[in-house]
Amino acid sequence: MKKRTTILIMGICLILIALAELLSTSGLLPVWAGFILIVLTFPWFLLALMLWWKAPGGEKDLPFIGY
Amino acid sequence: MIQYILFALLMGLLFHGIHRKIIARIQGRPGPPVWQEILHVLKFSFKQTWIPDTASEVHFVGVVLISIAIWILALGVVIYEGSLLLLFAIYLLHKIVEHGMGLSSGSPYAKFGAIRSVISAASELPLFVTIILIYFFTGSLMLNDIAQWQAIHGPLLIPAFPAAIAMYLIILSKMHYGPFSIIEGKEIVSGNRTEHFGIWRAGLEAGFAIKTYVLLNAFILIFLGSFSLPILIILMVILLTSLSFVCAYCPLLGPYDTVTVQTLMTGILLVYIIILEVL
Repeated sequence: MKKRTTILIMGICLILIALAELLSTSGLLPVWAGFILIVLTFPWFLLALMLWWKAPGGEKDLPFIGY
Repeated sequence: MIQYILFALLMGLLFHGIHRKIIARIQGRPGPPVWQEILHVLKFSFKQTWIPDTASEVHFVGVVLISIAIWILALGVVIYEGSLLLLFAIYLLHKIVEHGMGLSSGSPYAKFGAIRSVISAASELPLFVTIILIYFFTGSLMLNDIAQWQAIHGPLLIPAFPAAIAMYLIILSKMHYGPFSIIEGKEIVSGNRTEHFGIWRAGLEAGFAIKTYVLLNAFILIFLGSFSLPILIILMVILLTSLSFVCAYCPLLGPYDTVTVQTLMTGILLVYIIILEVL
């Protein structure tokens, strides 16, 4: 995945997480709805963050598939 | 909300480190520092990563996302004291992650792990009976109702002691290096995690860390009641220490032995429920 795409995913997720936090603490969004939004976005944010800072390079390999 | 997730993530990783440290000390080794698992996740996240050529790409990555998502959801259920049924439904969803991890990569070692995961479905049997027994005493499956019941009647641990043992076994079956950890036995390399490396492994470890935090927290909440955070953490560490002792002293059981032990526990619980019903 390109770095630009990972930054885009991270940005979108971060905005959604911040929105969920702000809206649910201010009472504009039910707490459960805010939490569900975080449940859906946090894993994407975490993986995008790690894809962004991981070491570059590496090619697909064929694992041991039996004798 | 996000602060709870980050706290649970860090505490879960720290618990994994404490778990490894205790096992090492019992076995006469110095062991890694307790924060080693936090460093592990960071290390994995910086590594070169790719998806193996034999893997189903969507499946391979999807299990990592699902693993993190379901345990964050479970954390929400515990924090907001929601339904015990929902918590255990999430526990059952975790089976999808275990199967998916093993089946998605194409490696036979991982597939062996996935097959063992099917066998270890017997660990869910004590879970169902635990739910029945908890409902028998409290008349509700909402965690806040159970906590209120305990505030009036005292810890559920005493009247529902067999259910506590059953849930203890359930948590034990999900601990690393435990007697029931057949899906990650070293004779099949790393079991269903064999081909998940780099950021995929880091993501899975993050999900598993939240899982450990949730299961320990749920045990305390269900059988001892609600506590302030510092006391809760102390109780969780005590519970974890006892689990680590079991893991250090018990060898990894054979796949069929784990089924036997877990089915026997379910049978004992059923007898206990029948006796309670008759009396």
